[in-house]
Amino acid sequence: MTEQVLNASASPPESHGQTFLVGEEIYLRRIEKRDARFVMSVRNTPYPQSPAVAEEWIAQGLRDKSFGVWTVVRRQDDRPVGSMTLHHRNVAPLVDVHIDPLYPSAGRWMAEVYRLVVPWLRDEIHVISLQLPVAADQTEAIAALEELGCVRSACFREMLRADGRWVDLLRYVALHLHWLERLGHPADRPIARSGSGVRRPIPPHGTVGSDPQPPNGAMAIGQRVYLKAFDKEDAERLSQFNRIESETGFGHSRLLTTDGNKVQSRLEAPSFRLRDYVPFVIRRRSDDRTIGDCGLENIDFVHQSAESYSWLYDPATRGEGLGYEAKQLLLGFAFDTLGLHSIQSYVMEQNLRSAAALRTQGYREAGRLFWKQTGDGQFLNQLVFDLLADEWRAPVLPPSLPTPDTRESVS
Amino acid sequence: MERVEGSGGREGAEHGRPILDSAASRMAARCVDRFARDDTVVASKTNAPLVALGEIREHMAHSPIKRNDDHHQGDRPIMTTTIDTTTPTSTEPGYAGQTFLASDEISIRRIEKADARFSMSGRASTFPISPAVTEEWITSDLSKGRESWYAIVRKADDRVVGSCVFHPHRVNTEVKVTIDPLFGEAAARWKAETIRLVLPWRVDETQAMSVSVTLDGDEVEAIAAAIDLGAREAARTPGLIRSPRTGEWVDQVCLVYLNRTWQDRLPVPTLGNLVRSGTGEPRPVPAKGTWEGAPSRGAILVGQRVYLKAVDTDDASEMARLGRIDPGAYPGGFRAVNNAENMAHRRLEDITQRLRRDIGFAVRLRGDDRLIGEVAVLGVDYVNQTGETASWMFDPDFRGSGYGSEAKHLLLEYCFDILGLRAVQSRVSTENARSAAALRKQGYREAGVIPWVELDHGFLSGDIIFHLSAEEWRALPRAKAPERETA
Repeated sequence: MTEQVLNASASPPESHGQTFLVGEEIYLRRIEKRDARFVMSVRNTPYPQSPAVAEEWIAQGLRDKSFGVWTVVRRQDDRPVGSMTLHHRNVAPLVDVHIDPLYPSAGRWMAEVYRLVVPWLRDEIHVISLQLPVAADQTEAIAALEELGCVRSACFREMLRADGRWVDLLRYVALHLHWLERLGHPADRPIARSGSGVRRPIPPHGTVGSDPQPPNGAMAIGQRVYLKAFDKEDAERLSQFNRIESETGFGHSRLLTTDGNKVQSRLEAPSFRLRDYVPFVIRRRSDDRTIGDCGLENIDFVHQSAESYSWLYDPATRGEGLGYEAKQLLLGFAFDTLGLHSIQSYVMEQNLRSAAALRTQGYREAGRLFWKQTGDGQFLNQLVFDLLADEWRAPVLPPSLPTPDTRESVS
Repeated sequence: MERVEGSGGREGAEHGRPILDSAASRMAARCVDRFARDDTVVASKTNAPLVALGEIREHMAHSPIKRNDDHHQGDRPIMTTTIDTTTPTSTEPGYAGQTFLASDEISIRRIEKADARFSMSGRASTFPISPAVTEEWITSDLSKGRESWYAIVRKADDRVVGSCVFHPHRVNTEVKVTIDPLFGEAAARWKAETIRLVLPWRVDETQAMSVSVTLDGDEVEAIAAAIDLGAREAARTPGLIRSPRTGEWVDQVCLVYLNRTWQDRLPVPTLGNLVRSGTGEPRPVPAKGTWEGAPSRGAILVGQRVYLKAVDTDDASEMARLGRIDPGAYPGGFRAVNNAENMAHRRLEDITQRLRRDIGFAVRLRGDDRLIGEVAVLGVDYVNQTGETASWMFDPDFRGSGYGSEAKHLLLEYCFDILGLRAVQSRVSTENARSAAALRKQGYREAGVIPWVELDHGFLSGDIIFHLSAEEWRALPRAKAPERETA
């Protein structure tokens, strides 16, 4: 179909009499199979997609209860031009807005979408904490969010690639007014911190050298620990540790796992294709004992970012720097092997020790995600951190010298 | 396995020396023999996984002779799987008594099921792979692919320290050698030793015409070993690979080792003796287009005269039609009869849209929405941030008028600005001077020539390797956009 034909659609339906989620130029409706014809406008993907495959994607999405997709439609001709996806997450659902960048009006329409959905979700559906990620170059959308009373709560530096350059990903939040009146704004409470906050030097890598029996399955070797692929023995060991966990200060409850589901959750694909999840086992070199795991999740190879995690299961090994050494091996894998540009990490705010560990590992505070979940009779915040490849590679300066980066962190 | 698929077994028989055999390949041969009698499913005596012989036959019947690099990411190749439904019976070191492919420190033998214990050394993956999954992979996929996989073992203790894979093409055999980098300096030494062993074996003893081996620019010992043998540096692409040793960007170096007898009879194409056309100078990058009103459905990138879109069934059907009415084959190529089904099939995308490696676009005219061609980036390597570009102008009316270059630059914008690739490569037959000239006009630079790649029209053609980095592409002169028409 030519653009001339598309432009000539007569008597636009003007949102079919819909009474809400209707703006001046666009309106929102639930996604339908027929929107597959306009998949490249509706779906936020870096890859070309044919309508035939898009139909299947829409059908699958309609069955999935973890998220919902609304089509953003231009009122003038009822043509889909973008989408709004609502990810249902506890008390803090997340909204993703996408408008086809081929439209010169994309920025204006994105702002209009926020003006429609934020009041609807916050004031009509009574969402407690609406999480709103938006790229820092979407100036019209950001202005709209701020007009709506949304607060910028975090800034993940250079997490997105747009037109060949790096762009920050901002996190705005719309908090429910009644809850704010009752509890006060969470941003008013300062962040509690422990530890010096000073980054420690990266420990040297270990080598097997002439060792006749280097650790089996090792992928990265440090002085005291090494990282390897999960196998059944590791899963059994970690499941045992889960059952004898003595601490509860990690911001979530203790969990019981079996070696079976541990294996399942860490199971790797038998192919060599790239994955968005790479788990490692941490083993101590001195006795080849499994002490924890670490890995990368949500790896995005187009934007070259990922989320890191680590866990020392054996309480006897905590606080000795072994987790630090393992994390540095993981960061070496992320930046030097996979070539990632940025790493993010999330910690519940009350988990002071893990947050302190991230600071010593070189991560910087990116802000707080407010009221992410309930716990201990309150809404709990999440502290977020990020780390860029160049920062990780930069030599660690003594604390008395000024740091080279003067960028302010958002909190 | 070699007998199953042809070349290896014949080579071994004809030259009087058996190929290095493994329990896996022996079992495969047995399976095939039995398959000739019935289609039943058999299991080994060792309660190993069942092997469906019907699947083996199906695979053998349709096994394509083509590059099978779907699984490659980064510089680490994968092992082709081998069916091994037996357990190893011998505990003596693998090199015992072996008279060839063995040096002072290492020896080379076929992959065994027991090697799964050393999966991170032998399988050469960027990602962690557990022995259990590696074993499953070894035992379930023996007959897939054309590659032959060998384990490089340390003679002192028969420990697997790396792998060597032979990937046969019509004329040339690609060899990939990987040594676990955790072995430090020894890894470099063993890689050089492997090169010294396998290149002469494959060419001088098994009489392959040509073997190519691709190395990182900082693997100086291995490069020197190949050159000392008489291999030549055929292509060098600057800064293409992230060195697993240092994390720095290094050159990708392709060395070829040619059969000496054939060298006396046949010319060896090089950059110096190519037939060239055109000025060789890059032309300005055409201005991007903008779209007032509604873009054509499916449009992703828009130029002044053409736009790129996802391939749908209409595009596939039109591509097949244009292919059938093409008046002539391009130099170094041939015409092919396709239909909408197989044109669409090879462009099928993954519904998840996760990390696609082969990404193709239909090229259509903005004016009348006519399909004129296709452009693609293939084998995207997200770790090294590279890919191989390709383009086809199906409609002969639109060849030589700059439409292809406009589409190519939209593809390059996609590669560099959206996917974030650092560089792309392109391969063109040494006989296809027109396409080579087009690449030069588009800003690509020559990295070298891989000789003796294909049998073309009664002679051997090579591949010219071109490359273009994001930096170079961004520095190319840009054409100004014409005055915008009123919508």
